[in-house]
Amino acid sequence: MNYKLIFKLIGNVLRIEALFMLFPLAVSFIYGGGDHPAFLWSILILAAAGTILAKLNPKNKNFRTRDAFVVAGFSWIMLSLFGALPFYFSGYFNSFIDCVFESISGFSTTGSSVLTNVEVLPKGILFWRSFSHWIGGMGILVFIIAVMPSINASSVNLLRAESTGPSPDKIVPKIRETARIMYTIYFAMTVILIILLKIAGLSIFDSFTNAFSVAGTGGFSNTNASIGGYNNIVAEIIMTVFMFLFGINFSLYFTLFGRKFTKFANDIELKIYLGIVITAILIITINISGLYNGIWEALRHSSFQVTSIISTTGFATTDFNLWPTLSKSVLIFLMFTGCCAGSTGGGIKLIRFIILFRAAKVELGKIFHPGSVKTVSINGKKVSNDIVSKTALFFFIYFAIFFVSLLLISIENKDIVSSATAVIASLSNVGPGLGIVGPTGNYATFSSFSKIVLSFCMIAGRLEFFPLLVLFTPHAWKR
Amino acid sequence: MKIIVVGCGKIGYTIAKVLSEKEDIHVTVVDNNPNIFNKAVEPIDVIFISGNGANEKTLIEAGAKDADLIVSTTNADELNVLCCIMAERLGTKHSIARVRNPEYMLEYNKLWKDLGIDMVINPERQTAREISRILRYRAADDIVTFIGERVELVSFKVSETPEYFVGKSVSQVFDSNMGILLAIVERENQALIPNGDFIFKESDIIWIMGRPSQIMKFFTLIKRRSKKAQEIMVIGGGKITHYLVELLNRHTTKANIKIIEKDRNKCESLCEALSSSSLERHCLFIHGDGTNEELLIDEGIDRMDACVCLTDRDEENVFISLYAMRRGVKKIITKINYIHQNMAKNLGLWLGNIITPQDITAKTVIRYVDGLSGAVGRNIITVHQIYSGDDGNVEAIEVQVNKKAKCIDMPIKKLRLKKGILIGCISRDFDVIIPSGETQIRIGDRVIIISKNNDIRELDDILES
Repeated sequence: MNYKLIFKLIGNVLRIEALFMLFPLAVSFIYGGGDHPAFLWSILILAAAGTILAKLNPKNKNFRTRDAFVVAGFSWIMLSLFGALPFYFSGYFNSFIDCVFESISGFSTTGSSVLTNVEVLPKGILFWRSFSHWIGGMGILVFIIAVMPSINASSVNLLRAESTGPSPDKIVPKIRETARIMYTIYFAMTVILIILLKIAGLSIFDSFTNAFSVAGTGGFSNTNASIGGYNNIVAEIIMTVFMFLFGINFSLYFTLFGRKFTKFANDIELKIYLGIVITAILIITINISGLYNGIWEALRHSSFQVTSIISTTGFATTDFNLWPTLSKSVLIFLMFTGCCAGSTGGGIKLIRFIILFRAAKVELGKIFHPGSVKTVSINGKKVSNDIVSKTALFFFIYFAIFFVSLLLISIENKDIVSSATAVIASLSNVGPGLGIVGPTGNYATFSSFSKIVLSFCMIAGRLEFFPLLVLFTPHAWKR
Repeated sequence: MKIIVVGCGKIGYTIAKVLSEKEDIHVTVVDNNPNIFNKAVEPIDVIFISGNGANEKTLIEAGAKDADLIVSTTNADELNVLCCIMAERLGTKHSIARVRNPEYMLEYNKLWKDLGIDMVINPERQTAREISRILRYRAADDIVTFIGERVELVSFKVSETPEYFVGKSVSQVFDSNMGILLAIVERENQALIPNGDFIFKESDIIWIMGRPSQIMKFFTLIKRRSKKAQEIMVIGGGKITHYLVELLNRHTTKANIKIIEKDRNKCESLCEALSSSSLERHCLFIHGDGTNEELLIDEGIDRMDACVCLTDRDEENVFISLYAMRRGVKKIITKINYIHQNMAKNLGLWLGNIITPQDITAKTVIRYVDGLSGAVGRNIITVHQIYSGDDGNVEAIEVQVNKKAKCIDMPIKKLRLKKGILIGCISRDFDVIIPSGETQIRIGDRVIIISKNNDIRELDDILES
């Protein structure tokens, strides 16, 4: 392992985080919530720690795959730990574990909170919560690749470790160019969303924070009743559309710039994404129409909840805990699938389901024609056996971690629905689950131990397991 | 600039790797073996597309419609030509094809142009040309020429004539009226730009620059023999040998060449192919194993001026070279395909000249690319990479001075040069000037710049900003 290089990069992550923290600092000065000392101290600590680490001078400047994975896992832990400092200094949280949980929930774009009343928080803290979604959505390492000149070609492994999907890849030959294009698309879409939300009638502060939450598919909001608290239909529709858009593979947007519209329209994952969203909305609308005044209100709530859950944002306009079982089951299904690979959303990702469905079909065919040769293909390209087996392995790890975490959470004897959905919502970075962790509930009642387990699930889910799991192998700590 | 490289073997990989390291060059690699991606392409900054390079769909996916250059380097000559023609028809502006069968070599390059191919690269022939160049200039180990061969940049090892250098400083060895400029010194995997007090060590490799005649004088002064190789032994009879014999015959009629080849059929076909020329008197084809000590002694390896190892196997080449060195052969050229050059150097096997066909070919392609990008207003004429090691690269760059340059009409000592920049020779009106502190660069000059780890795109890039 190239420790010097790893720590140098983590130093740079911390310095960038210090830079990002200047924004909530400015907000806290503008709104005068009295939380600026918390940010000042945090920035000081971050800058000091970051500068010391960044001063390291590694001899060998090449990343191996293993280095990149360790960097990704380790820097996300550091990012979250240091990101918890403002919460801790502000004094609104009960313990440091709570602060870390909130921070990890922010960066991993989960959006589950330990706070029972967010409306009393000062504006700076609220801004930092939502802004951490935006940073975590596209990823801080991708940002570093985009801005740091000393990063070389081998850092493609960094991009792989942090991006989502079975085989994340570059969209243009140059890695830095790729990272820049991704962030440009991300930034532009966020700006458009901010403007639209402002036009829809949200305050300038709410437009910013909610846009960050939607863009990163996070889910922190500024009211206790989530988006339902604004009771603004236009804003809800805008968010519904954008939550859907941020769940699409970003490299597909790039094909639009190349005027390859057919490639965009023929993408199998996008088609299935759209199909699942429409089907889920229809089922739930019919299923819940009795609970609301008429079909239109049912449609309004079902479409918002469906896009919110499948994109793993976790916003709510109504308490879906009170919905019939069928609707709740559909939502749990959506929590597992998540959206498209290469988006800012979480979950298992639809492309993995498609790959395994097709692999299963090929295997079934072999029972009837043992000698038949058929390959799994996606969008007309053959999927290598390597990727198929990695995908299957991903499923195994997802469910293995799910069951182990569920066992650990169950120690404190909460009801099974709450416990199970809390783990799914954390692993898939959704946020709210059902029962006591439902849209109107929160994670405050969990013990510190459960909070640590769930925090692990959130980071593991965001990094798609491997970067975090390598930290627990002995190889990662051998020279 | 967008470049498509078809075929990711040794040559294609080297070309893609070197090109992708440049800031503004976007490389797409096409190969029909998808597993190549994990093995080779992953660590370099390119996009990989699996497919046949002559397939219309693959080419379009690789961006052939708006690419600036396609370099086709697969094993099959015919496929390379087809790739280039198709890409050119689709809209790619320039094309380079690898063609290596001697029977396809055309007398008239115009025919290739008519086919739509701008340049043909033949690694074997280029390697042979490189070898023949080294054989002709026996005094120097490596040589690069500038300004229509009026200036040479040559390297040699101190260890061969240590009495003139070891323990002496630069100002003691190099006199200002010698007409020679000391460019860089390679020492223990580092390239140093020395000043006057620099003391030479035995393991150093020195690069000097000047007019050929001055360099010849200098070599006479330090008693380095500079006569051409007369007796040459070539081991291995492949395509490179074919081209090498042809080239040596063209340049040095006096040289006697002995070729040792294991495969009888190869021996015969080579003999047949070369019999038409007037070589027969000077060439001797021997069927035998080059690793057989008795055979080598029988054929007089002790009397040889030079030994060139060109078998297909790197290990054999290295072995025979080491043996030849032990037997006292002065000039040894070793072809290495797979083993990394630096690895051989680090093992302490300083074998004289190591030749790597893919590097030579990559250099040619890069020079072509530099020409394409430098064509508009940048005034860089040629770039030669003369050193590459742990601490970076050293390039020798020939620049035409145009009106816009900031550093003209100023004594050189007043210029604030970047670290790792040395102003080499200046060519003015058919004269070659070795600059001193008072020398000024003027409009119309051609300047050769030695640059370590700097990205020089125009003359003013040498100045501290």
